[in-house]
Amino acid sequence: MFDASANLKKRLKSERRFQIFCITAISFALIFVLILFLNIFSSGYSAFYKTTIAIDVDYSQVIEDTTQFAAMSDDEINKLDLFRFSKKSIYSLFPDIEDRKEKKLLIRIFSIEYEDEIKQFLIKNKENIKKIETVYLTASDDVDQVRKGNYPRDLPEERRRIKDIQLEYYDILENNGRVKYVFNIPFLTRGDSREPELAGVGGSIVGSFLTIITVLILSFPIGILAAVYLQEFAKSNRFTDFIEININNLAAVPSIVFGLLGLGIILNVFGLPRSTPLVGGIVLSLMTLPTIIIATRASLRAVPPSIREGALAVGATKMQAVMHHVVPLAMPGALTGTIIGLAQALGETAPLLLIGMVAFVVDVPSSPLDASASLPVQVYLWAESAERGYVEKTSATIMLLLGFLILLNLAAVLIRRKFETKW
Amino acid sequence: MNKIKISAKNIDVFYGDKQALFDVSMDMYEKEVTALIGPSGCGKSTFLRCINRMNDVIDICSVKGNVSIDGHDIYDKSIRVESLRESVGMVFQKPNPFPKSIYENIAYGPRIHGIANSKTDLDEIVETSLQKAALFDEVKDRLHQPGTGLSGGQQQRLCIARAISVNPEIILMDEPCSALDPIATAKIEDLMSELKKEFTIIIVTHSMQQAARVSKNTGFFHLGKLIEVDSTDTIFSNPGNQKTQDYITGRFG
Amino acid sequence: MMKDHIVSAYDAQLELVNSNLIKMGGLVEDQLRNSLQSLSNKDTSFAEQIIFDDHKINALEKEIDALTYKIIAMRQPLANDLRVVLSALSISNDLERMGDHATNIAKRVANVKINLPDAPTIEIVKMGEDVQFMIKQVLDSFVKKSDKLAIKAWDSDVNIDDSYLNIYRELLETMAGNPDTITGCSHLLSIAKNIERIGDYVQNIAEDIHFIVTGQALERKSEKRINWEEINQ
Repeated sequence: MFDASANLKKRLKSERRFQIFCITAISFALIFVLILFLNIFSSGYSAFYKTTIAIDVDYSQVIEDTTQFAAMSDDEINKLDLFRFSKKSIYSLFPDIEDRKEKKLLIRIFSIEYEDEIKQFLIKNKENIKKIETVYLTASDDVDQVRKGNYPRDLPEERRRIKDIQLEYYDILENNGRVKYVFNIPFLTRGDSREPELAGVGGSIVGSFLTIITVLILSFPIGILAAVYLQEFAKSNRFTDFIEININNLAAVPSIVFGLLGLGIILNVFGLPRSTPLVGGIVLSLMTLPTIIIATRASLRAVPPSIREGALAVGATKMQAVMHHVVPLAMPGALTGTIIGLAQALGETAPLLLIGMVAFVVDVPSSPLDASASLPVQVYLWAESAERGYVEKTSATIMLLLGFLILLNLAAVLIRRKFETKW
Repeated sequence: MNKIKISAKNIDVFYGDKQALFDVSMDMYEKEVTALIGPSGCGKSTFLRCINRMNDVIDICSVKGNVSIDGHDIYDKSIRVESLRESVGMVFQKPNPFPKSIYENIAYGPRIHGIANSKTDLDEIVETSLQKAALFDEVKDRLHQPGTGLSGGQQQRLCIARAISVNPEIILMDEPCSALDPIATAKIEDLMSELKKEFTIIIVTHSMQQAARVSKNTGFFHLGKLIEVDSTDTIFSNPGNQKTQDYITGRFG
Repeated sequence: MMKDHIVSAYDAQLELVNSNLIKMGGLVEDQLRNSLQSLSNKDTSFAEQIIFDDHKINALEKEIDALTYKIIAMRQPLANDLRVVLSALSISNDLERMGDHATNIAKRVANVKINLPDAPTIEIVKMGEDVQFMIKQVLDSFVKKSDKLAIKAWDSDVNIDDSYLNIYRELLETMAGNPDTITGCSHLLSIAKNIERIGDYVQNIAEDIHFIVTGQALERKSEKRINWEEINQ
């Protein structure tokens, strides 16, 4: 009696087939994500480390009595001309080298800011500087890449930037235990640079952060108010229909169009300073607003009418009913929408290119009115650069960007979870 | 017979072009329970919502005719709908406590109307409202826990307490027991017999037995018209209208 | 014509009450006819059949009782349905009592070993036939749900009361005239009383039917009342 009929067998079979299709689809998606992540991580993680080489610096050659450094201000130290002194300190690694050309090649295994690094060490430790100090200098990008194994040694010499003799020096230093592989803090704190080993994402992280804050400050209140008015107060007529359609359309407008708008109106008409997080924030706000409005309206709609009626029935005014009961219940949804909108804004590149946030900015911005880069634009910039050192930095920046996006989405999930519908 | 509390005269209600009520006239008496029965979509809830102007909320809804409470026309321009609803409370089909604490649910009304002057006043209002709704003993130890955590019947009594909290004279009940089990229903019915000593109660119900049990007068609606209104005894033993008879004996359609 | 209920099983149950009542009424009618026949023919052969039929009437009453309880519990009848169900209870009760009275007549005829006086017997049988007509009338009114027929049946009882009074007087006179007839006449007096009681029950049933149909209690006074002074003379 309960034997499966032929028809049922057929149906069960098609169900199994359907499941297999679905699982395959999910597997494909997962595999692609995995490949993407693996690819980015494997090429990007090394950017968080850098190669440093220890040199012995005899600070007593600058001032005999090294205790006097303590009395000097940072500015004074910065003004010292330590260029020749620094070079000499490096030459002291290999006192046998006489040839000027070889000396130059020796210098080149360090990043060009060796003088500054020696100064910074001095400033940091000026209170109790010893006569001879061991200072770790950042290695040049070429050496760094060799250390990281990204640079094939077996290429013929004329086809690589690093010369045989430099490799020789490096190997000797390595054998002497002077090479140290350390966590690359400047990568996270410094601005961009033409030298890959010195380039950092600090500037673009701060730029992105300032941009996002601007977006949040502008679009959250405007978006929530607009949504509440449209959903709860506006009479439904042709005009509100028109607004509604336009908001939905706005959400679908390609982001580069907002960039053009920013360029045309905000920069050219209002004359706000270009390349700044303020302008970037304004442009991205325009893009984020529809997302926030649509999400907020949806969550307002989801609040059961019985809650409104309950409030109205005890004599609340319409605004009281909305503000005391409906909006608080819709808040989790609105916040989720906002965070998703922010995440979108965080990852957006195209409009920023048009308003000049693609400029090469060395300084870390300190206010929304300073010229600045942002994370996705930094990716775009570095991905175009030729040096081998930028490849890993591009991937590392993508890792950071993905990390922030995941954090934002996580926050959205947590907020949703915490305020799960409770009516 | 008690004096007339609510008097509806020639009420027509339209939803857009669609007419939902046709020339309904009905008197409801003070401190009595009046039941409104009829099949779904017959307009009884619409009529109920005319009494506290809940229909105002719906954009396309328009009401013609005259409803007066104690002789005052409630559709008069000088009447503020918020203060009308202060004296005409309402309890809905599905218990709809605010997703807040039990205390906050009841304190909300007095607070917005400025009834309570101090925290102690408010505490007292909350307690007496809960007591009148026969809920206080069950919840007194968890006043600050969410009202949505109560059982369905308790939630509905919480809603009744919320309606009572602003000292109304009339309580409208729109199928208050339709989402409740028989025990919870019995508790609400028992509560109603207590409440009618103090309030005028109008109840819309689908359960004819319930109408028969709780009300003194019953009105039967069909297709937007008030077919018959009479004492509950008469309606349920020997109604005057064939339609009423067919409906209450289960012969409709 | 009454519409059907939405729940058809409810209709079926009410219909079953209806048909059982009619069936029961028919049985009571037969019962009385048979009793009267055995009285007028002095024929005791019916007795056993009559006693057996009485059990059938009693069983039907129980069945109707059970059914009405069930309907009340399951359907919570209202308005006219409620009246039908409640009246069915009392009608079946009355019919059962009528059956008992009819059976008593037959039992008495079967057990009395002396000859009953002829003249009053004929009178009594005639009165019995009148009551039988009343039963038929009241059953008709039930089938047709006609309060007019019910009132007619109710009003007929006055004649039965009259007949009973006449028979009563006649029997008294016979007994006074001839003390030998006292035993027989006493039996006949009881039989006449049985028949008169059946008439009263018909009146009850007529009242129930009137209530079913109109929802009002039948408030009616007999045009003629028994004149007790006449009897006491």
